[in-house]
Amino acid sequence: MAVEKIVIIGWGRMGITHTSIINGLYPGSFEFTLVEPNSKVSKMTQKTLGYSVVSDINEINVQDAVVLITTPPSIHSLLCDNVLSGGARSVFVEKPFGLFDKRVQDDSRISVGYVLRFSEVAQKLKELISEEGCLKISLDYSSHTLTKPPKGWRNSAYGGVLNEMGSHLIDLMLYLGGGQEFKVISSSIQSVISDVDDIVSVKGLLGDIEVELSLNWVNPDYRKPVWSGFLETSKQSIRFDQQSLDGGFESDSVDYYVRGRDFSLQMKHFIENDKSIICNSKQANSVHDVITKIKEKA
Amino acid sequence: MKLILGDNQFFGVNHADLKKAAMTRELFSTHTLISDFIKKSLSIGLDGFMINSNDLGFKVVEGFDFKNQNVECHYSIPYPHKYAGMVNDSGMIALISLVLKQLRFRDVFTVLKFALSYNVVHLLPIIVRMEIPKSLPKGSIVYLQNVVTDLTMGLKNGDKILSAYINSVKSMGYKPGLITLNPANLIDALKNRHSEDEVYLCFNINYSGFNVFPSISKVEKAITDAKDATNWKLMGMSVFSSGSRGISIKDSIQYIKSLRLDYVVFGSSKLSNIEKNINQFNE
Repeated sequence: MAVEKIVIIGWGRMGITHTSIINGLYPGSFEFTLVEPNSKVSKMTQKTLGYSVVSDINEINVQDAVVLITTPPSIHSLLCDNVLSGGARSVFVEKPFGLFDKRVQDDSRISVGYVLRFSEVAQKLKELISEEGCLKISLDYSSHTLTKPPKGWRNSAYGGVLNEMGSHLIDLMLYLGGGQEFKVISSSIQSVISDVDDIVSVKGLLGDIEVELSLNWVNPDYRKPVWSGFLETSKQSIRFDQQSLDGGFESDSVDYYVRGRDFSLQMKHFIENDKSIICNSKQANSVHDVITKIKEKA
Repeated sequence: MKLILGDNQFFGVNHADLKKAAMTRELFSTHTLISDFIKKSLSIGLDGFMINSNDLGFKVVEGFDFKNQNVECHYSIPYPHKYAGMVNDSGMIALISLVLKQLRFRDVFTVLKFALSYNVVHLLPIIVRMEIPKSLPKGSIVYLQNVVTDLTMGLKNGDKILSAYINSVKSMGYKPGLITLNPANLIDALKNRHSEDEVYLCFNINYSGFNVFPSISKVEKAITDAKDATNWKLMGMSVFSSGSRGISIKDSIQYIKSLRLDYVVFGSSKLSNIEKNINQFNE
């Protein structure tokens, strides 16, 4: 593979993670340029890691570049429009994207960072559903992420467990359910530590599929974040979580592992333009349509 | 091959069964319960224990009676969730602020070097010191957790930062260790620069290939490369495939014993299981 240009916008946790995975999967194949407005972070990154860093996307030419946007979500769509109009070859936008007040246009060059669909568990469930149909999906996310009120956008309408973690599970639910219309039957939302949603419980229908969704990121019983669920098909009931599933599954090998096989597979699909699994911007909009419905019903 | 007690059972980690993980965590809710279990495990034949620098692990090491026992402590830093939450909340600068709050008078030159160069590598000795309890005996092994090792290794100049970590730990009188899920990459990246150093490398290896990256054959080759070309000590972890693949303990152990490993780390919440495993390793 010839050396290509990759631009990472936003040098936070996800920007660093994706850079490390891409470089680990394809060593020496890409030349990275980082866009980071914080001058201290920028200077430390240049001096410690040796990357080229600019403070504004308009300082560089993104023609034919592969771009990853990992900034706070309120500026995702602005940046996405900017780099696409600048001729970027493909754009990966971290979730959440397609926010309630920031709708996004469908564009085949855009991939959105909902990662759970890349897990072998999700792929196995998808396979089972296509063979046996689906009567019920139940998904649960539990963690002890919040111990004090978050700062900035995380404590605003763009934050909360629904946007930050629930969006992953909602995307998984829509992916497994084949993109059918979601109807909320009941929902409850509690603020415990943040000013927005910390505990959310939802019952609904995805087409004919009965759906239950439970989110809690202030649960002290959990040391690490855990997502798990239950699937009922016409033939069987299956329990699963992020790393196991009744009946097992064949795990995919990845050439470089950082935070999970799903993260490496997500980057592999994006970089190799493999559309066999992809989350597009239309699907990202759908996630936030569901979030809006849940909030309206609560 | 030395046998080391792992810490997953103490902190609710099971890579194949999350419910079981939560249940075992309940058994070890205080540092005293953990210390008691470690002492019992050592008394039935284990050579040492591995423990993470999270709140409970830090207290275990702080209160452990190392003087009266011939025990190896394999200590892993940092507790990644603590820092991930901080970066999420307040950005990367919050990490630097935290480090700068821990300064001592003797750090003045270190900080000057950082202030003049903006190279975070200069702060590594302070960062490492923050995570290590004073009571950790010199000569213990201090590992960098896999999520940090692998994240760093994937970045440009990541090898230089890991190399600086090795030198920092050595300069403090401890033995440097790296936990990684990409051992072949790591050996390639550091073996020339640190072939003479006693670096401890801990990585997944098991008969079924569960969470062995990128493949069993490549990791087996990496083991041979490292043993032929370096003074490194190699430790296998996840050696029973987290009990997930229907492979018998006997077959798992036979396979592990066929490799040129210096250490194996494994855990269980039941002493009887640990004793059985010890007996099979010693057969």
